[in-house]
Amino acid sequence: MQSKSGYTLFEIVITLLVISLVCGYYMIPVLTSIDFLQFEPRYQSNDSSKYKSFLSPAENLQEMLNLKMVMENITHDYIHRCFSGTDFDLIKLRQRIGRTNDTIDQVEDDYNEYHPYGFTGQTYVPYFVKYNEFVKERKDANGNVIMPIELTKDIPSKGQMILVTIQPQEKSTKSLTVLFTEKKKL
Amino acid sequence: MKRYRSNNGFTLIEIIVTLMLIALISGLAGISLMNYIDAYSLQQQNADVVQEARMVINRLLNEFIHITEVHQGTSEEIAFRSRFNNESDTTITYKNNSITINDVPFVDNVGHFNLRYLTSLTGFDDVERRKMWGDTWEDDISTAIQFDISFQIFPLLPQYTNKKRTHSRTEKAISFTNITVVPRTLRKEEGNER
Repeated sequence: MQSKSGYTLFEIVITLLVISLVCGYYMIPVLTSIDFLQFEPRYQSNDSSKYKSFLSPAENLQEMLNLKMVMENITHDYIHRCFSGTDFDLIKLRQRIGRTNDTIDQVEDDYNEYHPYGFTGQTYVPYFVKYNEFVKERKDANGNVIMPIELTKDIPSKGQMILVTIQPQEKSTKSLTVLFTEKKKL
Repeated sequence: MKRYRSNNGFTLIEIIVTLMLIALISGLAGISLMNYIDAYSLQQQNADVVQEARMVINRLLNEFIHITEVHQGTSEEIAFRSRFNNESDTTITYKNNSITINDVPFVDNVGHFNLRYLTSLTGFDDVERRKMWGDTWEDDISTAIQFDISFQIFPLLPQYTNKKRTHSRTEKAISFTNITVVPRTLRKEEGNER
């Protein structure tokens, strides 16, 4: 079989075979060295931008565990101080947690005002905090806040309480809410 | 170069270039496909491990949150009584990549398990001045438990040796850190419950 004015089929096949072999031997290893799944460095670090879908189940769980850690730290502080006979109460607890709709992400500047409930022992986990409607801010006639932190007894039969909600970030869909009620050492 | 052309066909150059492009694109597509298959496999293993992690962490949190008395606590073992177990003595131990509860295997393929205990009643006031978490439970001081845990997986990952792509099982770890729990019914020596 031969084209009217070209190469024979045999020549074409042999040429393509040689080209394929050369490409196969030299080119494919070069191409495969562009590794699309370089797990090693990214797996160990938190740089998961490219592989977020692979790591997201673990990251989601760690995010919830971080929230739980913050809430447990708050709980520990509140329980310990109330049962140790100090005059620690819900107003002071709220002062230490942070203002509503604030992201508490550091301890240095506001150390005296906010407490480092996000502190793990080595690092600091930021959290966004907000409170429920039982807690109101007192405003003047012009709408200015004159008492930013005040508890109200919306349910007098149950005593004072605050419903604390913390989130990783302001617009995060994950949140953890705990109701703190007034406690006294018996 | 002398130009050959069939009456109604393609030149050899056109055919070669076309085939080379097809081979190149197919090669790249094949490599991507293989990588996506690897990635899918890893993702599945990852999801399975996280599911197991949830179960393990929940069980440990339930054990710890109902603790009434701690007999002994180190970084790899804790012995306690818990309402979760009807106040019976319980020992959780990490040894040889496994966690056992009262010497009964609970979970395998644990990369590391590290327990810590709050070392100061006023830990949050002293955060910049002293170490908050220690390696041993101190009866008079410790009131909270924190632990890290990691789970081993052994995915088949691509390796490139001698210009060849092979697969081998490589140990990876999925870690969860700073899991904190405050026992709600801990009895101190004076008999007070917290």
